[in-house]
Amino acid sequence: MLRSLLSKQFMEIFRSYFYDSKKNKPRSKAKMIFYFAFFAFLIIGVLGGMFTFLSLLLCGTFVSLGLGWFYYFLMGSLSILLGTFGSVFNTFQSLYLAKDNDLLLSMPIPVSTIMTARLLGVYLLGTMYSATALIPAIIVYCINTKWAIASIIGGISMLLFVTLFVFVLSCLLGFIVAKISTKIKNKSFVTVLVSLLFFGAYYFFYFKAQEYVSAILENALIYGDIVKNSAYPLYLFGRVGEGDAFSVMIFIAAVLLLCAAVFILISRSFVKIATSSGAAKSNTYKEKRAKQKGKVATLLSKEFSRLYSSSLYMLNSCLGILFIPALGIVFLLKGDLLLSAFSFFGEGSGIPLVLMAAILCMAMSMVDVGAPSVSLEGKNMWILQSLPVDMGDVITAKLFVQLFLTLIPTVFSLICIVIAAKFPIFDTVLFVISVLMFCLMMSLFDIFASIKFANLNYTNELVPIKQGLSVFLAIFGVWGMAIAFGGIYFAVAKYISVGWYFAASSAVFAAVSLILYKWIYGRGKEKLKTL
Amino acid sequence: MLKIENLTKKYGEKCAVDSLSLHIKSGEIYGFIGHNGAGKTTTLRAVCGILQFDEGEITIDGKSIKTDALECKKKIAYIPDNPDLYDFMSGIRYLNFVADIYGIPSDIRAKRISKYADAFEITNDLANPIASYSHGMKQKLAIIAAWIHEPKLIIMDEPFVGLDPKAAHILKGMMREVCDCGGAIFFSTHVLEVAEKLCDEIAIISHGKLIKNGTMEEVKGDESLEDVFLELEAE
Repeated sequence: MLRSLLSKQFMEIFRSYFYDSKKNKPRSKAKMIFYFAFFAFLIIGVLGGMFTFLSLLLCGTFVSLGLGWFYYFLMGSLSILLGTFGSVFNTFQSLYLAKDNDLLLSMPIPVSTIMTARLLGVYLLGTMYSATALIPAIIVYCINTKWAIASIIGGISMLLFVTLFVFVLSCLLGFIVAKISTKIKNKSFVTVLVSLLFFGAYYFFYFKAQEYVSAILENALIYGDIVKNSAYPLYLFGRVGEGDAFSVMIFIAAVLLLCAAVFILISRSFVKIATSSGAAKSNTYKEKRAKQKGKVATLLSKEFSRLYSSSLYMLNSCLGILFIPALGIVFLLKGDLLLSAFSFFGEGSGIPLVLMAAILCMAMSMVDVGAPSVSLEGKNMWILQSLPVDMGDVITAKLFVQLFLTLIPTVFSLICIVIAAKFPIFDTVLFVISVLMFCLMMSLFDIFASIKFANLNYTNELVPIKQGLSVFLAIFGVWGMAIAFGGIYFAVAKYISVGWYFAASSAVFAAVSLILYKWIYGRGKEKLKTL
Repeated sequence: MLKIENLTKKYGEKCAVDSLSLHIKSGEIYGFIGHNGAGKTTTLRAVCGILQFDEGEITIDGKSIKTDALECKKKIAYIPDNPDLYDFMSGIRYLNFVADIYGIPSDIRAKRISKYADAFEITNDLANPIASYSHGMKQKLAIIAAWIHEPKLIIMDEPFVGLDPKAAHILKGMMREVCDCGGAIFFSTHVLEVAEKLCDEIAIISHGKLIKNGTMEEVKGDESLEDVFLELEAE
């Protein structure tokens, strides 16, 4: 039974890897292998690579100073942060908001088995994030200590402790989020606000990381003493990684006890929370005259309502609304510093402008509201299909939301850059035009991906918002385009001025936009009618 | 009002609807019965333009659903077997959404919403999110949304499922009212007693093929509809 549930959960998470919803048949083995290999590359190669670099930077110094525990304290804490941060909302979604909770609870399956399957999913997800940071740290440490037995045992114990501790934290935070969400009315906005605070804190530390790493490396002995003397349990935590038997036993026993406590806590409240319809007071209907709206305005209002109703959707698809203007403000305040940094790549106004444009375009990928929008119609698709509404209007509404949410922050950022940079007018005007054209192309691309790779069959909205192929393409495809936009200039800078480069880029973006527009309002529109 | 001529729909190799022809006239309540998987839902979805079909023609008031889908959809309303509505909207917001799409002026929609919501006793719940509604309440809301633009043809897939007896009675009255005003109803049901009492004409479909249709008397004669249906199914 547990195996079936786990298999179902695994199939749901990786459904798009196994099943081609477009052709309505399972994928070939070769395709499955390719998708999993690519996923592994992103997790192990890209994320793991970053942490391998950090480990190499820190480990040698700490080991030579006899502060292996401090190295593990830092890397372990980082893994815990990453694992918890990466999986807390997934925990909430998969434990309490899964759409098949009612179905499973109605079957003769013990609640504890449903819980165990769900919790194992949570554990594996948290492990995926935390191990990405910790495994490189353990390997680098073992290499530095010449694969001593204590290092290997310590490394394994550290991995076990960290992954279980992440699991405990994720469950507790998921439980708290679930409890709060049954009490409050504007859940989605409150969730977004809390999450943004998390993000804010995360990015604050992220940008200060280099400064902190340098400071720690320079004063490792002093900081080590401070931690050891003032927070002894943290010292013991670091010692787990070094393979200290006493620390290993204490920490593994403690985390196992915590796991048991969390399992009891959640299993006691799972049914109540998972089947709760919310304790929020019901609204009283007061009859009032509704203002009649046109079709496109009605569809637009529906799209915005859909967005505002889901914190998950807002958090995953709208972060760029904050980041894009933040880029502009950073440039306004630290423009000189950035320009001098960019001048490292070459002289003149060309390279800084192209790099600024490419960075701005990359940031636009963080607004991908349009990419999951068709899939999010899900089982409601029949409504649009049966109403006398042109599918072109439906697409226009989705496109408008995408464009609106990308364009306004982009224009703000462009104004900041133009004020701060003071480049020749000709170059600046064409820079602005090319960025705006990119914005249009990207918005059309998101809608294209949304229609082309639409998936209306899912049991959790996490699937279209976070795991859909359309979203994947919207993010990494736009990154690729932005990198190409910036990178090609380095190859052609000798032959073409930056102004003309922007003019040529704008023409290319306009041409691609036209092709995408034709597809969307032609084949795309027809596809929407029959999804 | 509705003409279905040689409708054929295949899913891969499987023929879900095979050369089906039906004529539904104004003023008629037309029942569509058949076993599970007989092709009822496929036919209804094809009629309201949700599903593309392989062969045949469907016309509503003389207009083809294939070539003039928007004009056809302005005249019809569809209620599916499972009313999956926008959970993120409140009931009243959903009704206004549908009314806006059909271009119903504010004062007219307010009267209709008030009339039907009061009849179904869901007026007080209209401000609440649809996510908090029971299946029956969603069904009632879907019915009000379908009636909001006074369609000429209403297509319903198992409309009585989930409704309480009072609501089912009200719905039957509303259906008759539409037909008395020159409209038509085309609906599927498994409840043969309802079909027997309510329908002017019926069609029985099995494995995608029409096996019998006509007025209630023509189809059942002196027998009960249940006996006739079971006999035909056995053949």
